[in-house]
Amino acid sequence: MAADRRSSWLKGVLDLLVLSCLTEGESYGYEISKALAEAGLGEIKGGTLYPVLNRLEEAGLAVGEFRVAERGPGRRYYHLTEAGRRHLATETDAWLDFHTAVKTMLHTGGTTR
Amino acid sequence: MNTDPTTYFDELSTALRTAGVAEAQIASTVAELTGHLAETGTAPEEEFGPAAVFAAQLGGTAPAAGAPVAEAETWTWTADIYSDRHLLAVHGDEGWEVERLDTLGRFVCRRVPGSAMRWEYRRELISGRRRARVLAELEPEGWEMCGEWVLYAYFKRPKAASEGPAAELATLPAKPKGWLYLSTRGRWMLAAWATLLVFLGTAYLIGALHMPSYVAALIATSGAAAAAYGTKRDLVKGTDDGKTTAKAR
Repeated sequence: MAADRRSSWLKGVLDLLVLSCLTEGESYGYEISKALAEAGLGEIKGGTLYPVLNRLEEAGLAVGEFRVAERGPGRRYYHLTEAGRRHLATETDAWLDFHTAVKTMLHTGGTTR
Repeated sequence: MNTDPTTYFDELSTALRTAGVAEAQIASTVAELTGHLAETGTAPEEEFGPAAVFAAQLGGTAPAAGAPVAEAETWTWTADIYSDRHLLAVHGDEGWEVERLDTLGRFVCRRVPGSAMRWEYRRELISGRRRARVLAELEPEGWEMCGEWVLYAYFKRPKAASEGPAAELATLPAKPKGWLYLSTRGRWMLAAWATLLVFLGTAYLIGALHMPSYVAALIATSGAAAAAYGTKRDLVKGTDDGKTTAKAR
């Protein structure tokens, strides 16, 4: 049940979380999923992550570049575009406003412990 | 479950090709996903879900790079519980994807001309402890919850998951003009309840009932409760007479 809840919550914010993984520089799918797991957001499967990366790329918020590796399969590295950076800043503000409203509401409802 | 990467990526490539994704993009996607599996050490279907479903989410519905993007059509409609499943099947076959239920419980749908695909739907009771069990059964099969209403929820899945390339939609029927669909049973129930309300209201106003207003309110409430009980019973039984009788208002 906890996993179901987390998966519902993530739906609204996963795009932003993925974008935020690119603010420090480029990254690739597996590294992004690891960063999200280490941040306590749970395991994000490839079946969820890659459609998000595709959407971000189609929207011009991130750009992917495939590089062949010397050993093993290649990787597609993603980096933020300027539009992606602006989008992340704006939407982060909107999400934090929403988060504050939820927090206030839950606390008002007597769940402050 | 498909655990062989070669078979899985063959299936994925075919599904992406059917959806019009360019060969170069398919090759780069497969290479990227192969690299991902090499690092996670998981089986492809465990990591990405069924190939056809994943293809649809991944880019099967996305227009090729450089192609003009068609504007999505939107349509909001509703039906009673006796006709909803039949109508969802009909409209899913016409490419309508339910995005959510709005606050009135109506289906909010969208369809993108040029990249629309067929959808299939199911309705499941999810009250109480059933919820976790239903989700655990349906999600691995590619079903995604697209709306929840009191006791039950609707799930959607691209038909490509069960029918493969046959699920492709070449031409789109026109957007329906109606928005309210009531089955014969739904119309009778609505009419009976409205008649009872009108009768009680009128009788009360002309003072013909000779009964305190709380008795009239009690009768109306009992009628509503009986209707709610009957509706729940029909939901559990899965009663559906919408195939032949649902009409758009």
